[in-house]
Amino acid sequence: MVEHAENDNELSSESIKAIAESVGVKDLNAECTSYLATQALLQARTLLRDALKYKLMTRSLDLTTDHMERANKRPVPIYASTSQKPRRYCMATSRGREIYGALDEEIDLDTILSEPPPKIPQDVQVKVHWLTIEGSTPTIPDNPPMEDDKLVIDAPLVSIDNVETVNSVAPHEISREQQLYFKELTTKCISTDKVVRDEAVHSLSTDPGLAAVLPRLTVFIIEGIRVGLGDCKMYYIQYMLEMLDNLLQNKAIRLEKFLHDIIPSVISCMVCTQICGRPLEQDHWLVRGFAARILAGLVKSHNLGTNQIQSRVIKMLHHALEKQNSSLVSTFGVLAGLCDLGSLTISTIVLPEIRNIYRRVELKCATSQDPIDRHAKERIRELLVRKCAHVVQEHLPELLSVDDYEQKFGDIGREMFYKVMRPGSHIPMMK
Amino acid sequence: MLRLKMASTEEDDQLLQAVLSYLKRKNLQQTEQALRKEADIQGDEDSLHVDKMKQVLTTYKSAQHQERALSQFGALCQFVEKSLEMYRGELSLVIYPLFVQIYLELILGNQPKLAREFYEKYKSQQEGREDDLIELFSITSKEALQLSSMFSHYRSNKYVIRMCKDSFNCLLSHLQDNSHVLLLNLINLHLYVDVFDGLPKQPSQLALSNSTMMGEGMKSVNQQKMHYGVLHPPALLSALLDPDEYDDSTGEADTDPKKKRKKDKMILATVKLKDKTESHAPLPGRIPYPPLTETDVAAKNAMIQELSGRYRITHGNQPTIAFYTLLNAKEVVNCADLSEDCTLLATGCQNSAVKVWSLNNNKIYKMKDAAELDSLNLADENIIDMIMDDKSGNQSLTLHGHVGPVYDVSLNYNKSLVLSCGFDCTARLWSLQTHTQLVSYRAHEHTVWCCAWSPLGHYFATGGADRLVILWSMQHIAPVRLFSGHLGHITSLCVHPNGNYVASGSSDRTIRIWDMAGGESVRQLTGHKGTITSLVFSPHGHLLVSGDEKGQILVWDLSNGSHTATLSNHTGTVTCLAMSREGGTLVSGGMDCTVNTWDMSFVVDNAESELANEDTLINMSKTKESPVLHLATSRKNLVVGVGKYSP
Repeated sequence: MVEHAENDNELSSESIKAIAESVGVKDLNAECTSYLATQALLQARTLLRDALKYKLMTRSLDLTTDHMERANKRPVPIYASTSQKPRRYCMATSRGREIYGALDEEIDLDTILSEPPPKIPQDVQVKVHWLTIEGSTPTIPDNPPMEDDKLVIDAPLVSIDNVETVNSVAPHEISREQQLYFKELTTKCISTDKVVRDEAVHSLSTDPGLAAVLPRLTVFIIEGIRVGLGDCKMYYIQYMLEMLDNLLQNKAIRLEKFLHDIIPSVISCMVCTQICGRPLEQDHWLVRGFAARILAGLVKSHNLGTNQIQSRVIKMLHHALEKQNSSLVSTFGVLAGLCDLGSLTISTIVLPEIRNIYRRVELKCATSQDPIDRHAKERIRELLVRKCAHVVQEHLPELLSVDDYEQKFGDIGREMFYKVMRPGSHIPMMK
Repeated sequence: MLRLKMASTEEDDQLLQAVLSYLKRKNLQQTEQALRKEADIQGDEDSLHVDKMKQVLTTYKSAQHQERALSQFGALCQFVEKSLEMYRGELSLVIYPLFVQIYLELILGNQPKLAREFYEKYKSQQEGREDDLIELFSITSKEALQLSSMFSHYRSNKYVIRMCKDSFNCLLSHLQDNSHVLLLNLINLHLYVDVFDGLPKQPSQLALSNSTMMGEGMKSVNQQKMHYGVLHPPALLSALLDPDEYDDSTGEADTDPKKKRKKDKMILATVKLKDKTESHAPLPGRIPYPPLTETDVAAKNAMIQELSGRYRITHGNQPTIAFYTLLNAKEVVNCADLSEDCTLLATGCQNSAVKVWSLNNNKIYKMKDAAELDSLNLADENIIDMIMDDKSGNQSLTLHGHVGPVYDVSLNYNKSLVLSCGFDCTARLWSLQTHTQLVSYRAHEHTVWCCAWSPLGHYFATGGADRLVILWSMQHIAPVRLFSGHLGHITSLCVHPNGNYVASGSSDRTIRIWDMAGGESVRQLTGHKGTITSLVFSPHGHLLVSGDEKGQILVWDLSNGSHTATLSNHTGTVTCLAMSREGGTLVSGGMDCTVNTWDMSFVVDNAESELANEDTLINMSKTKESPVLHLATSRKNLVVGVGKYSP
């Protein structure tokens, strides 16, 4: 036979042998194998070449099995109908006459009727549109997108929930690439994988190109906080605050335009009565403290004579502080916010009130059955001592003894005094 | 003999044995004795079997031949390379067919190894033939050669090469001086060299003759008389004239000299156009057509009326394209056709149905039953409307009857009949009035790929995988003419506007134009590099435009069958072509989902020169993932396209 061994396209003799074995032919000799291989190859090539003709003539973009099938079956002109099986007849006698009738196969209608009907393919429809009007292509969905967008994938961006809100709220359009980037970024920022999330969140503090997506990003964060607060998902709030924190560190972007949205959200995180599912076990105090720090950071970096953010925030918090019936958790949040705004704020707002506040806290705690209030009281005390003691030392140097402190600040004064007088710290009494 | 004596290898021994057996068989005893004596062989016990002897002898002969042929081919390649630049192009045309022939000789001589070596050595020299060479290389046996749709013809048909006298003499002297008899033999057997007087061909002409399947069309074929003109009625003739330039001359003023000049100009143009179209037109009645009915005449007059004030597409006046997208049609719809007035759309489907859509608000009505028709008063004025059943109106109509996919549909000139053809080897005629099949035309032996109506009705042509073009008339169910000559599948058809000629494009990369009267091929146009997938005649009949699967569009002058221009902007198969009503614009659609608009008047005015796409291409529009199935221009020169959405 012809030597073909080195032809790469050849069917391997192993596969031919395997086929032979499948029909029960063992030990096929080499000549037969080689002949079969050549013939199979030849037939396959011819079939493919013919199938290409069918592909061309059906104006199809892809080669389908149908094209192969057509190429394989040479059409036979139909001149008369034929039957696969010979016709069968049966004899019937009627009134003494013999009649032969066709013996038709009986079909059980029930089985046909009980079967679920096959899915009907969608019918072909005709739709007309203007492809070109005097040379220019109208930008309608029926026409392909413009040349500029060619490089971008046409996939619709709907996989995350917030995008639609973003689109309706956002003041201006952003390009496909930016949309893709935004989608990627936000998905990663709320990813459950800590490494991925940290990386994405960290990128917020350094990426200089965020400006375009910033409107949407802030909406994303605000909405995220809203959803987190509503569903009491603290981790969610935490992610959002982390994003904000990093955004704040980014020197390349300006958040001024979005402060009116961001600040209320952050304050909500501080003062909301419940921000987690299990307030006794989860450390929501930390999150509130974190929010307070972010608020302080926002106020510090964006306070201008024209917008007077600081005074407005302080006013708001002060107002909240004076509310008699607010929960202790909220009071903690307000105090945390105020305390982070700097020593001047503490000395002018917190210190004068500290006595009243603490009395009210104790009173409330005593009357309340809720264990959360006890926690809150502890936290408030700890917070006040930690934050205020040094301020007292700085701004009211005339207070020297424990009694002075107690007189000025009530019960909490003693602790503050000891905090100030702790070994290693500066001791004014020595003067 | 001396050589034989010295031979010591086993092969030569065998050869000697074979010669001895041959002599013995032929009873040439003296010679046998002499040979025995000389070769020093005793006894005849080892005489060979007849078959074995034959095999040895033929192998010897062909092996000798083949080696010599290879060296001669190498020498020819060198000769062509070193020849004068003037002749080099024409001489190099000989290389490819000889390359193929020698390769096939080697394969048939059972020398696949040698064949492969030969192929590897010279394949780089066959530029522009890469795709064909892949097919050639896959031929490794006689069976494979017979199955190959392209190369099986190389043994049975002659490859035609046209070259000037000087080039041919040059080639001949090289072969004869070096007594390269084998190559001469091959040329004699398998090539036909059509020698002409004059200068060698230009590079652009050479490029055309470079990639055809069986060489070029012979000049003698293309010199036959062809009546390519069209007898337009005077009203149509003036309507077809450029509306922009001559439009306002019909007004009041013969007095205004400017307008008078314009009118004169218009008359001159009319005469010129008349001359152009009529001087080459066939005599009326050369092909008998039934006379037009009253309704047809009225419709034609309405058409001519509508032509006036039509849009003129130029670089400044960009085209407007309305596009009908067939949804859910991927792998369902194979073909589409629009009626002349672009109000009906017919599609042929993979599921063997033919579907007709009405594209305007007029529904498709069915004719009333025979009993109801009987009761109608024939004298009634509105008899035409009354025969239709008002209740049957529908936007679309599905016609079932084919027993396999439908590959082409065609609507006739007055929208009353649909023709379809397909896998079941039949062409079927459907009435849009009774919504039934009228006739099933059976003569093809294989898939029918394409069908086309004569623009004047009555006759139509079909072509298929059996390489036949068949002309039918509605009067007979048997073919009127069989046109045979193509070497590949017939993939595209178009009937000349004067209704006297049929153009057919084939997968053998040639276009032939057949005379419906005599039945002979009057033009054979070669130059395409792939299967011809679309054809269209210009409205005045002197041009033919063809598109192929590689995306090239060629324009041909029918007066002498010469190539006028090549338009290439498509990146996929050109599936459809259409010309504007006055012939000034060409639109082409392709599998690459684009519709291109070309300036035909520019192409015709600048024939034979290099054309840049900036000048010829007016517009390119991209559809949304919809390969274009059909294109047409409306009477107002609005371009209408049909495509199937194939995401």
